[in-house]
Amino acid sequence: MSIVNTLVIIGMVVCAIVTATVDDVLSCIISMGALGSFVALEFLLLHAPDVAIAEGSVGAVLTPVIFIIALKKVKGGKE
Amino acid sequence: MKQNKKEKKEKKAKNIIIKCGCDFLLPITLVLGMYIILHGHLSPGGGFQGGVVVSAAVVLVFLAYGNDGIRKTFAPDKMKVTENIGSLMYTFFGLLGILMGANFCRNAIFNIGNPGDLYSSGTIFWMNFSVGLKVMMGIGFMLIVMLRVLDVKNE
Repeated sequence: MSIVNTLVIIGMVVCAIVTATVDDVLSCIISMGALGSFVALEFLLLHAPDVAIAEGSVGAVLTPVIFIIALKKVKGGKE
Repeated sequence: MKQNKKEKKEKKAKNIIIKCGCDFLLPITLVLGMYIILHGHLSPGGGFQGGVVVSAAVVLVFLAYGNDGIRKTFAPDKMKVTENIGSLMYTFFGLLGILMGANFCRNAIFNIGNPGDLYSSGTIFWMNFSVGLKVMMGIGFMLIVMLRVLDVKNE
């Protein structure tokens, strides 16, 4: 196993823990987007570029955008 | 009064940076998405992945120009019709296998062109294209509707 692979896996675990534990919703969404791009990078390292494109476009772009729209609609959970 | 002017100036400068970045990225996104759709049978990618990449153009236009830009650029009625045309095309090319005397979704027309060329895969190319049409129009329409909700004020 190469060093890059290990670093990517460590980044995935850190992003997942931050997503599950942080109280602020916006930071939660941003760390989830970072988790999606790490997962896409890991798929690319495992020689599955087909899945990497799907995961990178859906998990790192589309899902955070939809969550941010919903968050803006409810005014950040205040009131 | 002075501070208000300064804040306005800073806001304008930020808007210019975002607008220039989105104008630079928009054609690259569209061309890359169409490349992924059309070369689905030769290189990694396919209908779904390319369609999602193309539909990110809606988000770019919203970031640069807001809901007014979306209203000027896209036509949701035509997008609905195009999505249905995509699913009809997929059904037609699936039924073409039965009409030629084989299974559903069978590649009925093959042995055309050299292996590795763009038009060498028979009906797989057209099925990829119809799936890409359906996915890009569907996700783009969903994003337009969700972004339009931000303009509506409740209370």
